Amino acid sequence: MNKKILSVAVYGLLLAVAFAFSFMEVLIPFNLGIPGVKLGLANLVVVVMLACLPWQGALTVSVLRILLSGLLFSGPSGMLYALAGGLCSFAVMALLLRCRYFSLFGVSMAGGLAHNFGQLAVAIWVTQTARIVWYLPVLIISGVITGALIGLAASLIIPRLPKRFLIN
Amino acid sequence: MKRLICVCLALLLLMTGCDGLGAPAQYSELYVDTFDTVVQLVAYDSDEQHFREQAEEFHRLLQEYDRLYDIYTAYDGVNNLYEVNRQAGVAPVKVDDRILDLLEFGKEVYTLSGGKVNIAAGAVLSLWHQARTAGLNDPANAALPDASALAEASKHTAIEDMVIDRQAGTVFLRDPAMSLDVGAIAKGYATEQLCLWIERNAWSQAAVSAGGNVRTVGSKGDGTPWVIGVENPNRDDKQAYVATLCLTGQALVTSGDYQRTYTVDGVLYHHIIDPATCMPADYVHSTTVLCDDSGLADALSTALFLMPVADGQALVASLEGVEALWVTDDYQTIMTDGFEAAQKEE
Amino acid sequence: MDAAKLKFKPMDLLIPTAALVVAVVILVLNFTREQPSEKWAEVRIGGQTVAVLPLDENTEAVYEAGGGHNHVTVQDGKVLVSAADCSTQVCVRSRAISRVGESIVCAPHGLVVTVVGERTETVPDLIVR
Repeated sequence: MNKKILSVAVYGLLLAVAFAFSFMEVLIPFNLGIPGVKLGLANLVVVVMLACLPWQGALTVSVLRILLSGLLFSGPSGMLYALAGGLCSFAVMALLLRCRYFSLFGVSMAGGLAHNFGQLAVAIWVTQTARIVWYLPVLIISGVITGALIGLAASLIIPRLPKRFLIN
Repeated sequence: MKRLICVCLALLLLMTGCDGLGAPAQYSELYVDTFDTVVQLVAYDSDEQHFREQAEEFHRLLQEYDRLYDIYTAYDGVNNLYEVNRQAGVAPVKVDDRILDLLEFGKEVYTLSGGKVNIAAGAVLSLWHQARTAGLNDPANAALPDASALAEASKHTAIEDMVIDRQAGTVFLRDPAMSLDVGAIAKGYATEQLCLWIERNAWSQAAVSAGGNVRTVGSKGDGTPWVIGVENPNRDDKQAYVATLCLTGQALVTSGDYQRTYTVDGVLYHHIIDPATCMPADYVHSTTVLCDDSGLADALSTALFLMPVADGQALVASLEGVEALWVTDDYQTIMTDGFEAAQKEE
Repeated sequence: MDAAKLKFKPMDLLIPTAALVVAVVILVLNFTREQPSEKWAEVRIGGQTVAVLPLDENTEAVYEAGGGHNHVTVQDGKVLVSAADCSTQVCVRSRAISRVGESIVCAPHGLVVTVVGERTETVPDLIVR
């Protein structure tokens, strides 16, 4: 009984934090003039969740966050891209975490890459223009860098989390 | 001596900066004040100033034709078709030769099309015009013209009642209830006259598109033909064009059921009326005619639209230098051999 | 959470390195390609080419796409999206492009402007309607 309430409280909190990160990114447009390059702060929450909580909970919070952000900020087309990127990176990270050869850093960088690949794929499908694949180098570099930074942040946060948090 | 040479060299250098000795560039102008449509003029000229001057003259002539052939408005000091209609059954009206030329062309077209394209059918067409205008202003109460009114009007469409006296320079409409509507031929005819003017006076490489009625003069600046697309009447189709042709000095005109429409009880009614039924024709979705004369192309595209495809094919075959394309009611395309041959190779 | 998971492992570099190699290869391919002397900006909406604008002619054009408008400007051999009414404005904030293969995308409107070296699709000079 207690555990259930704790679950709800913790997931609710995490959703709020992820959503707040989304909002922050809307306020501070990180822009090199190149679409698809952003900090992806909300992914920090996803990485931490994947490391500490059951994947089902992490997935739910992640999807809910994307839907909420889409409804309030970027609109339906933004939601489509965020979902594509979010689901791809989630799947890749969830799988790689099981593998003992990768640490949180590798997982996070792979997640960043997968996120950008997912978005590029959707962009090509929606605009029916294969040519934008020339964007790949930019997306790869930014995916690796943001992934590394998120991984670093996660590695600093997780040891400092209260034990109660790890409802595993 | 040295100074003199320097000055000369400097002058030479200055002259090389002068425009007007350059290669022809493409210029274009848009006019929105004539024939109730957008008229686009494209021409290759080596001097921008020359282009502007000639384009102004073109515009002036375009406006003259517009006023002469206008059946809805009177213009001070000009006896145009509005005036001719007003004097129906009353008196002959002295008009500009250009009107007489158009009306005689209209008579030829009547014969050519077996009576389908009739510039004397104004009585019927104006009922449709009124119904359409009312229907567009007040869609909730859009209605078709009264059937009995149409039937009565169609009795006053005899082209023989249009009497042209070239000696006196007049035209007289014998029947007071008749009126002229030159919508099917005026734009194409005027475009043809304007392009003949262009050929004689202005440019050797140009194109005019009068609301989609295209007539080219010569080729493009680099010697290649003008590439003209034929709009796909099927708005749901991903293909924007049903054909793309290469034209050098020819005219291309389309008549379709998607232009000038209004809706009554959820059904779309277009503006090309079949004289036999007094209703919009529904043999095909669009017809396109390719030939040298833009007036003929305009008239024929309307004529073909008002008859079954088989009849249209027979008519086109009987004429020299005319090619055509039909988009049938199930959106199939039928082309004459010459039309197909004129297509752009992919 | 296994404490070991938090420490950097050598295998971590596998995927990023492979990806970066791919990125470098693509970049090299792109930048060592000879730029053709004639370039066009191809404007596609929903996969259909609607305009091919030569980059050597300064042009301003507006396109209706995906329920909104995008203003495309060709200036000094480059093309950019000068204005748009989409929600994200990513297209407007993108840099002007001029190399073959570069593109600007307006995702909400499904509009893509790409620089091409040859005209792959025929766009008519005029349309009969």
